[in-house]
Amino acid sequence: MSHALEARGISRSFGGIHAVVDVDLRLAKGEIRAVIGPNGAGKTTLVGLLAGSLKADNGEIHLAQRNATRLPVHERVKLGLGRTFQITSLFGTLSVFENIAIAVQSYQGHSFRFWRPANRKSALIERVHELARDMGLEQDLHTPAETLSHGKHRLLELAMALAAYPSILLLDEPAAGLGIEETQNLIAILDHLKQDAAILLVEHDMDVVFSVADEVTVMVDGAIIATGSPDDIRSNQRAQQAYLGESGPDHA
Amino acid sequence: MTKRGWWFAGVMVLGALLLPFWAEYAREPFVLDVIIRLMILAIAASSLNLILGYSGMVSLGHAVFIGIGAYAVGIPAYYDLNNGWLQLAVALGVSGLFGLLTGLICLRTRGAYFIMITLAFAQMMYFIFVSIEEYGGDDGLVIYARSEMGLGVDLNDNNQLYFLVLICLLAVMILVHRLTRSDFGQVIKSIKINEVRMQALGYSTFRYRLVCYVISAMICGLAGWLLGNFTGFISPEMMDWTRSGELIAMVLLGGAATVVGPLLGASIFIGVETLLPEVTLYWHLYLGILLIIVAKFGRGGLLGWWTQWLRGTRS
Repeated sequence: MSHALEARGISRSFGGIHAVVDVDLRLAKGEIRAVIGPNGAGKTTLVGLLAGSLKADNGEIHLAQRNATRLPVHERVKLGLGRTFQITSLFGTLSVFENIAIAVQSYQGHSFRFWRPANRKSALIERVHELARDMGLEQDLHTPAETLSHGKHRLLELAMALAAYPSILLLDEPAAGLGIEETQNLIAILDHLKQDAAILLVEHDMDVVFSVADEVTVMVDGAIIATGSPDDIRSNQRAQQAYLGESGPDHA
Repeated sequence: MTKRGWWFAGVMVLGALLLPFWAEYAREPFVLDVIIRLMILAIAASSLNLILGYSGMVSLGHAVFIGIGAYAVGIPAYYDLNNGWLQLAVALGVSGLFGLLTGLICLRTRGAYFIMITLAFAQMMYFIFVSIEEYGGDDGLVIYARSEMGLGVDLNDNNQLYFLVLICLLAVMILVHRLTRSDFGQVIKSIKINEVRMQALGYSTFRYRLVCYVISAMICGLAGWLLGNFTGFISPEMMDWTRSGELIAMVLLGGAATVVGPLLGASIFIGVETLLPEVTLYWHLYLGILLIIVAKFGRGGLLGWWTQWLRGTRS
């Protein structure tokens, strides 16, 4: 079976701290893989390594069957990678429309045009509206991004990541800080998205993890200690000890 | 732009068109010289604004491109090559190439390092020209003939030079206006706000910043070409880092990341430089105080204050 994303033995240290240790990971289209683990387990570092914003000390990363180990961030995007950030990363002073438009423009590829006004092409406008509609942001298109609610920030993040029809999605805590309704909405969106993409989901919200994930990977101290179906992980002793015992649904 | 803004721009352009005739009538040729210099500096400041204002890169070596443009008049003229189009091509070509080569290195750095490395490259050129005795070294080089443009244009006529500079200024302002609102402009402005995100969206941010840097360098080279023609004298002092500092002051005074800001800033600078010395020897001091006030209270420069005030009067 061909994998959309494959990591082989990737590691990364910061000084003496081993943030990610010898991680193997394989993801295929149609799969949602949740990565869980306590704070400091190296989940966000892992996302950085896969996205290319951090360089791996060891190991190889393949995206869409291509060796992407040495490719910079923007080249990996061209291989179909999209990501959202744990800490919301938007263009705060620009409108929601402009935020999505700059993402669509990257995909539609007309950024070396110097004379005609931007954001007037109908293909671009249509796509921006489509993405905004999918995320329920249509009413906010002309609001500056920084004035949106936290939940809408997360949705805008996602809209921008989806602009390029990614085949691999790295989502770093998309549900963090969302209300119940927003979380349900997100779960529905993720379920829909996985038809076309392999999704790596770093998430603390166990409701989200257990309702959408096909496979769950548990990280502790930079290493993977368990991978399995949600049911396997729920009954896995080590995973329990490391993480679920503190904040899992069983505890509640 | 608002309707009022267009009216204002129209009146300014009309005034600029009529100025030479008034200067002749009132026998004040000196005024024309002042305005020519003002407009040339406004072109240079506009070019700096592209990288400083719109892309957030503070260069302390931008005047080097003025120097390159001016020497592109002086050195050919030294060998009796007075064809203006040739000189202009050299000015644009060499400043673009110098921008490309130094940009490849400078743009890998950020913040204070970017400032230092642009300064270093500019000072390098400064000392190279200081050391070339053939072209006057430290003392500079007198240009005995202005560029020959053909087409019935004679730049030795100050009025014609004035109109050429005016056309160049308007063209540059229109270019900056269009460029910063184009697809490319959206990219540049977004990189300034959040470069990491732009990379995650698939943009090779380095490439866009480099292209912007080269465009900016070439526009500044144009300013240098005009300045060389205007002053008829060039020296390494033109590309000294203090000149670059003055350009930064103009951009910030007028209003960074606006089309009109650099022109306004250059006007204030020239105004202070021309009028204050009649009152006090220490006019730099007052310019400094003005800069401090703008830096402290007016983030958008004087143009920012003006638009805020307009909004205030309307509501």
